[in-house]
Amino acid sequence: MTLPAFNAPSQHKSGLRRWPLCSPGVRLWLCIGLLLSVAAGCSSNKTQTISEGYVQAITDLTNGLALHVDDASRRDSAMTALQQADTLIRQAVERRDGAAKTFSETNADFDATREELGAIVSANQSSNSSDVEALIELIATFQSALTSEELVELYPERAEFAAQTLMLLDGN
Amino acid sequence: MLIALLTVMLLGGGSYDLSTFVAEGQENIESAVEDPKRRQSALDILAAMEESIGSDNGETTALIERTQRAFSEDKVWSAEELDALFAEARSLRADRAERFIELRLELKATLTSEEWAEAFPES
Repeated sequence: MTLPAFNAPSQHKSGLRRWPLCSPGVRLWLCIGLLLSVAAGCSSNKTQTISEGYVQAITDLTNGLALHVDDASRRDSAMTALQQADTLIRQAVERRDGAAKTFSETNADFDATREELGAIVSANQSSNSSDVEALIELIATFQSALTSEELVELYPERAEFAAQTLMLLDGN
Repeated sequence: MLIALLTVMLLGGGSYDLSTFVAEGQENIESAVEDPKRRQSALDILAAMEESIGSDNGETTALIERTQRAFSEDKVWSAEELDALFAEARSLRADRAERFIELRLELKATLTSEEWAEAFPES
């Protein structure tokens, strides 16, 4: 498959070279981006909730970071936060689907009690709550790793990631 | 990234979006319940569930849209803003689940176990 972002010129519109094409750090993230794309194809038959569009959005954002963030340390920090966020999202989707299945099965039982149904809701919300602190940390890390200019430059990729996740949420 | 996390972690509609359950009941309740008074009560409860689901979806959409509007190109979210946003989402989700459980228990009290089984054969 092709990764359009990497076919882009390595010269920024300012005329300055934006990122070292052959540096080990960039190559590493290129590989991660590729692996993410491959993983999307491999996993598409296993679960219907993780769409190829979502994984492509992750790949594009990863590629965007590689393209637009020169500083290796800040780039790695943002990419690590993104990878961790992706892991959390996948876990959350899996947990959400599991909770939905359990809730539906319990709800279908005529004798299900308020306590049983409430316990499923509480367990899922408790897991979510425990993740929130980690998520806020990740968002803070991601944001603080980037300059204002980089955030603006990466807005299309960030917006697409958000949009794809919304579709993921809707089950499209 | 924020909206993605917010929506999946806290607003994920899959868990308690039981519109299929409601639709199944509405389709089968006529034949499942002979007593007209209890049948109408059951239909009223299912209608309330349907209305509640629609209202919940509206509230969820409103929060997502409000967050999207704030998600400008150069927006940097503070910890306080994030805390408030997540707290609102959590509250919304808890209210949604609580409303559904209340209505579900009302429905159970209206039907016998046999009627329930006939009304929800696929659930």
